[in-house]
Amino acid sequence: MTAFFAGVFVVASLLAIGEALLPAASQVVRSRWESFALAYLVGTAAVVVTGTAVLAFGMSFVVVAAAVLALGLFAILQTLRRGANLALTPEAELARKPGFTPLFGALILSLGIGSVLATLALPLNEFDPMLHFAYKGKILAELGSPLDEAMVGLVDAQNQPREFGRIVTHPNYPLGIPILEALVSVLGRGWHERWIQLPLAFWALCLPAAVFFGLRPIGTRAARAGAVVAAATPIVYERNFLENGWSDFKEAGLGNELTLGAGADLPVAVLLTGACALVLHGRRIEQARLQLLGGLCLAGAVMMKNEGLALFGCALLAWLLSGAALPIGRGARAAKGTLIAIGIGVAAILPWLRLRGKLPAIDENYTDQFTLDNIRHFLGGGAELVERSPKALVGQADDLLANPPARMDALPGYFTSEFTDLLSWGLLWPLLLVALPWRPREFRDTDRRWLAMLAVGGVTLYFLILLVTPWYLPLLREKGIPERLLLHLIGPICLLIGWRLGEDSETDASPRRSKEVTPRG
Amino acid sequence: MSEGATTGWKRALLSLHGLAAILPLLCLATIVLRAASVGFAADRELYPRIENDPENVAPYMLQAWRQPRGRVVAALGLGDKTPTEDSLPVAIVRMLSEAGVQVRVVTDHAEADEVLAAGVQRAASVEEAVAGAHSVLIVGEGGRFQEPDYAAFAASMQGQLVFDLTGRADGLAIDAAGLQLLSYGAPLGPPWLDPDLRAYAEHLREKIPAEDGVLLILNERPSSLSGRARWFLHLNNLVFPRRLYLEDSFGASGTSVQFRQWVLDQRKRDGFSGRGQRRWEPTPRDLSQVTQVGPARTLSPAERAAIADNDVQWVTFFTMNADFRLQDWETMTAEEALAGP
Repeated sequence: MTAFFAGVFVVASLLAIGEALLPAASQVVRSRWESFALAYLVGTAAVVVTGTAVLAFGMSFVVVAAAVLALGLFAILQTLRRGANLALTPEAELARKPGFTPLFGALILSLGIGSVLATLALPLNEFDPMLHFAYKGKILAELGSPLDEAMVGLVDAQNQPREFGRIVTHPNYPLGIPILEALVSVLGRGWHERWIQLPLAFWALCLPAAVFFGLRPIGTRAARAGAVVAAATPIVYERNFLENGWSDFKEAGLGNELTLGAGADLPVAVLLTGACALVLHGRRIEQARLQLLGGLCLAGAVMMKNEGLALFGCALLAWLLSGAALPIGRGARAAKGTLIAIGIGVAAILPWLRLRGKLPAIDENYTDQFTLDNIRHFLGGGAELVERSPKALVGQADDLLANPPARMDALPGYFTSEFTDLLSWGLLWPLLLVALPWRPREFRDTDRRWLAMLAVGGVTLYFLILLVTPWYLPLLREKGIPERLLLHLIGPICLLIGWRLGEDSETDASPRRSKEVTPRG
Repeated sequence: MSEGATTGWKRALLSLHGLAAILPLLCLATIVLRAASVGFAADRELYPRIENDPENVAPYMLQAWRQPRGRVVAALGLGDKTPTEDSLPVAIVRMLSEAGVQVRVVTDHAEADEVLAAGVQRAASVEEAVAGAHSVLIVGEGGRFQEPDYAAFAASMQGQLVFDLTGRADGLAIDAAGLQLLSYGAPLGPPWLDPDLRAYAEHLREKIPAEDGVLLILNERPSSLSGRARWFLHLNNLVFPRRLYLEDSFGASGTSVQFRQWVLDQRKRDGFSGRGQRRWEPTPRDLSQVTQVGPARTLSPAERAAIADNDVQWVTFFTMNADFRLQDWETMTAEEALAGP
């Protein structure tokens, strides 16, 4: 039970630290549901970003655990005190409520609670969560440093593979999830395969609430629509369920098709959602602090999985190219906040980049592959790397080697099959098509523009990454690519969809700022 | 969505997408209920059983002997379903029989005589079938043959092979009886839930102090390209923080493609006997009770150097198979390994 209570304490600390960083609910009105989600995301981002920085500067993980223990206790007490003193006007109290119909409210609640229960129903029981992440959590908890031989012992001092080395998978994966797991382990004085997952059980629960908060300034109808779309999208929980008919009931949650749990794709997706929601809300009400926390959440997404770094770049480009970070004219004040968010985000990921440079890279040399020449080569009909296929390795692919197909023969099909896969995505992609700001006056709205650029740019980025992948593409397809990557973009997509579905079509004048709901901060 | 004037098409799209929520609701409920059915523990019984084709099984069984003709196999059961000529156990028994193997079948299925090949014998009891047999073939039949007395089998058998078609045979009990398990059933559940792996990891945790180093040494060229054969990854995780070292761990720890390349690279090298090493059998064995098939061998100069360079106190020899068997693993102190036979 010590591990369980340690897990509960870590979750409470994340929530309290996040709540302490957020503006008070009297300043930025939000429901308890939204508060929970935002506090969890902001607190998690703060802990994993700071924890990584502490480790990058050579300090032991014990320092991280001690800091979370001290700050967590302090923040919990502060939150309790602040909560007790919170007094809102009846109007503000009314404005806090999300206003779902009972059906949609019950749906979101059931999916949220169900996702937590399903995450914790079994101890760690998947390859990637166990070996790519939890093993590193054990290293942090027991040995204290990501630069211990257990992590870097694949290679020698010259970064060459050792003749006899240590065993570790993907040593340069980010440390966000291992840090959260190791916190439970250190504070609980032991590794517990079920309860170390406790801080990782709330991603799906938080997703719709973050979308709701992001869209609140646009209008509560938009916020409700966005939240329902996010909660109802099946891939947030599991991919391809019932693809094989009823027999899938026998394997529910047992294959690598489960999105919930201690893997990294859902955390990246939900932290990016949090970042977008905080920046959007912060821009609409010109609240720089919210945007700053958005930058922190974006850095948090980088700490969860390597793809977070690519998304970070994509978000930066979207803000810069859309003009959202251009501090001139009417939007100058909002843009300044966005620039602060960018600055915070960049500063927050620098320690990780420093640390990452010291960790052996086992395979993912995408930076080397991502060249204009390479992109041109494959777009122009460059052949699939069949020599890296499992059959070619064992000499059973002579035909394939003699006539290798063009990579472009398959890649677009992988994406279109996802866009039409109702079992994993529902109607998310057709809805996105409808939600993009097609009309000039919609496109003139900076916020719609950067959201659309991030969503479409993210899809394009992943397309290009897979176009130049140094691996045999059909093998990646078998492992859930590209749908696992596309999931990362669910936040900006749901924000756009909610915005569109919540519009008042008669006036087509979504309020730039919902003064009745959110006072200016 | 009661307020305002949400247009019809928007409402329709939202409702249609909302319907997709049925899938995760069903999925989440199934996950929780099924986990509850096994006490919320990760359990192999949660996983569906996959049946192999007879063509993928019988030829490999026959390869267990240099000369199959004249061998005696005791088949325990003919499966849960009413046997037909096409059913897996019947087809395997027929193929073994056609190869000259004498098969004795123990079954309660009344239809057995109609579907079994002419040369196949029916045995009245397990004891009668197993007496003098070279091998036992575990097929299962309802609850029957679930926990056979392997020690009694070992005492009355002529050989020491146990063929398992169920994927559920108790590898620990079979090994404890000194018998060799050859599993031909599709593996049940993921590798990290393999009970033999977990038992061996537990054994190492008890035997080896947490701060010690262990050199893993491949006994012979790896036979399997299956990702499942990467038992060293799971062992490394299960016995942490003990330090495990492996030759070219960079390739072995990589992606599935890199791992396959690692296996191929290991295969290309001179055979271990060609490098001047020879097998030897420590007595008694580390954990396994199966004799004369252990993986221990003398060490190469590079392996000796690795022991000194990496502060290694223990050596674990292993034979790489897609199935984890205790008999394939042997751990001893570095001094013992360096001293050799």
